[in-house]
Amino acid sequence: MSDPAGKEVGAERLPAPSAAGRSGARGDVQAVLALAALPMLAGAWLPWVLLRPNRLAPGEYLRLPPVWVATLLVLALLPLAAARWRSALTWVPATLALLLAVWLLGTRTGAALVGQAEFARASAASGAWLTLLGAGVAVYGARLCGGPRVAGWAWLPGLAALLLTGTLADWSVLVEGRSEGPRWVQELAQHLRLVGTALGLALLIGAPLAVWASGRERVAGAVLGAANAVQTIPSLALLGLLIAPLSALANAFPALREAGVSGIGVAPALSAMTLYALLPVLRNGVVALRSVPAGAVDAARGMGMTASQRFWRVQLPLALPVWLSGVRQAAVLLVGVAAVAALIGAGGLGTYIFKGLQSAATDLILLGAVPAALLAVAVDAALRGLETLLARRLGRAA
Amino acid sequence: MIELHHLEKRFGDSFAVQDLNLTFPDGELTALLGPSGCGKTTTLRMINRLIEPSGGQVRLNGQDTRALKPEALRRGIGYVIQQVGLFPHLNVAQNVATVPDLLGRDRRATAARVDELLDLVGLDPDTFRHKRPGELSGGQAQRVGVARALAADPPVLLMDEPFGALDPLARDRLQDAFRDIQRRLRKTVVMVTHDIDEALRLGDRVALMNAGRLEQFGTPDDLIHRPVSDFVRQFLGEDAALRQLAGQPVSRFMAALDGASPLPPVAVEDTLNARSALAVLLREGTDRLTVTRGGQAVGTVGWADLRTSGPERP
Repeated sequence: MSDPAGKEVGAERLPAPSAAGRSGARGDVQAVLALAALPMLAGAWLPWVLLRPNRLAPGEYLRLPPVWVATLLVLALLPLAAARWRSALTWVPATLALLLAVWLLGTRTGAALVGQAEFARASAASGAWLTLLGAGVAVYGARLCGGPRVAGWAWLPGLAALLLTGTLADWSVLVEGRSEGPRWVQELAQHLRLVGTALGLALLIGAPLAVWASGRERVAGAVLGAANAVQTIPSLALLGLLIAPLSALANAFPALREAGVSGIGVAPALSAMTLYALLPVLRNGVVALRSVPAGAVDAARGMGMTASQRFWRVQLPLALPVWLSGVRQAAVLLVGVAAVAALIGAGGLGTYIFKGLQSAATDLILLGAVPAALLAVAVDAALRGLETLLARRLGRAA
Repeated sequence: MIELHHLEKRFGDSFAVQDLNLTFPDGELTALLGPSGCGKTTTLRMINRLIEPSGGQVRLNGQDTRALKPEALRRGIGYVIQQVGLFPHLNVAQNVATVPDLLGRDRRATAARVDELLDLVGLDPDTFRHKRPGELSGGQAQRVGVARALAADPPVLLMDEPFGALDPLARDRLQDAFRDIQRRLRKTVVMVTHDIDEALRLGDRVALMNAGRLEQFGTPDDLIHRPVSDFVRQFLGEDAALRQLAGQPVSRFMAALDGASPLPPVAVEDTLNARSALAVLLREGTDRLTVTRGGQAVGTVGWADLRTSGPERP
């Protein structure tokens, strides 16, 4: 670890002057990239495509042609080498590996289907998954290696281009997606509607409650305790628990039933999701409002601000960045819980997951699971960006 | 003029302030002095109704403060606190403009007023206008705090240990700066402090409180030379007179040159504080010193001058 080139890498990246700290952080990057290389190395050897006569029948595993195995092996090791000698360029082999893996998945599934019957399916097998995982980790690791900031996102336009040109069109998951077509779009919209509505309701209930509780020690304790207790109930159990009281309500008040309230469906799903989202919204709200400097609030009062002026001009702007991170946690959480809500007939991407589980159709499961995961990541990134923006505008360097 | 009539504040069974009668004269700085827990901050906060009195009355220019809405009352009274309490999400100019904005004053006039005030408190407007509170030192932040309190030109200023959190050097500078500002603006100032030196140095009058009651109200001279109780004497300490001298330049005590008698051989600058001048008298074993300004003799000072009932106030 004492070669001169290695020192140079550390020196250009890290401000810490101590040699120990330097080699420690550099060691982390090497470890991440090594973790990325291992699945890629294994993935190149393992079968990439599973070809089946139809989506339920057993099939045969196909491997990559040797030339691509060799290419992948080289690309698996290149980020490690780059991090050592050309740190700022680590993103190039990492991004290439990811895009190549996607492209290979598309072309190999396409090749496998040539001359097959209409119902034949070509799915990704262990090799493809491992390679994609490794390449993803490599892209993440490359970001820790310096280089231009946008380079960390270089894979995004590449991936978009591959998708738009139809490279993956023959991949079984997308074949399923195509046959689902507009119904899939509807379920995605339903998923988003569930998340959006529950988050909106949680904010509508949680925000005033947080404001009210933040000034009262005992109320805050009780409210946070209750929200915490809800959080410990597994989501499935909570959905089940809500069936009885909601159907009782619907039976007792016909007007409610006409408004769509019943033991299963959207009403209990939204109730459970709202309860789940309440804790992060409440907890961060109370903490954020309490951490507003007391001097600023006293000064605001002493200068003649009314209670509402104090809230809108001083307390809320100062609490917002921290509060928003609670909203982000709630949103990400809800994307996951919404997938479970399909079990009680609320719809959403979970519909495909459970349909797939029932019929042992992996492609269907993925048709629900992959977009749900991507959705969570996208929601997280978007709200994180908003937080940074706000923190900067409100004078608290993020 | 602020008048307190039988003012009291009870928390449960105990009195924080009891039967307090006090008049803060217009255009003067009154230091509310006392040990911690004596009720001085409670008294201050009852004036702008941040704490509602349990009994008695506060009159501002003859009017009972309960006749006004608390917010309207507070907008007419400057308020400076130890934690400064600048709004960290707003820049210096926005902070200073807080009360004018609350009062709906014209934006452009307020912007000009902000620059004027930053000048007054010794901060260059072009440098500081757009800074955030997080970028200021403690002394600079409190200068902004004072500017903010003065922004709407209130006749009354309430200050709660305004210089208490500063390091000694910054505190000295800020006390000097504030004394100059007060000499120019002649606000009616009530300043809570537990720092005897600060009270003697800045106060035209001192109200010494103990256990919720007023112990003595008078000029610093009154308290030092004519204490009404043992508590006052003990609280100010044996060296109270020296402390008072320490806060004044020797030029305030000097006698004019009479032209006839020869100048004493030992000279001190006129900006030296009177306590140090006394120390020089002791060290040199002499009776009189020449006071110089820029090397030029402007007066003389001796034991008797320093012993007089203290400096006259301009």
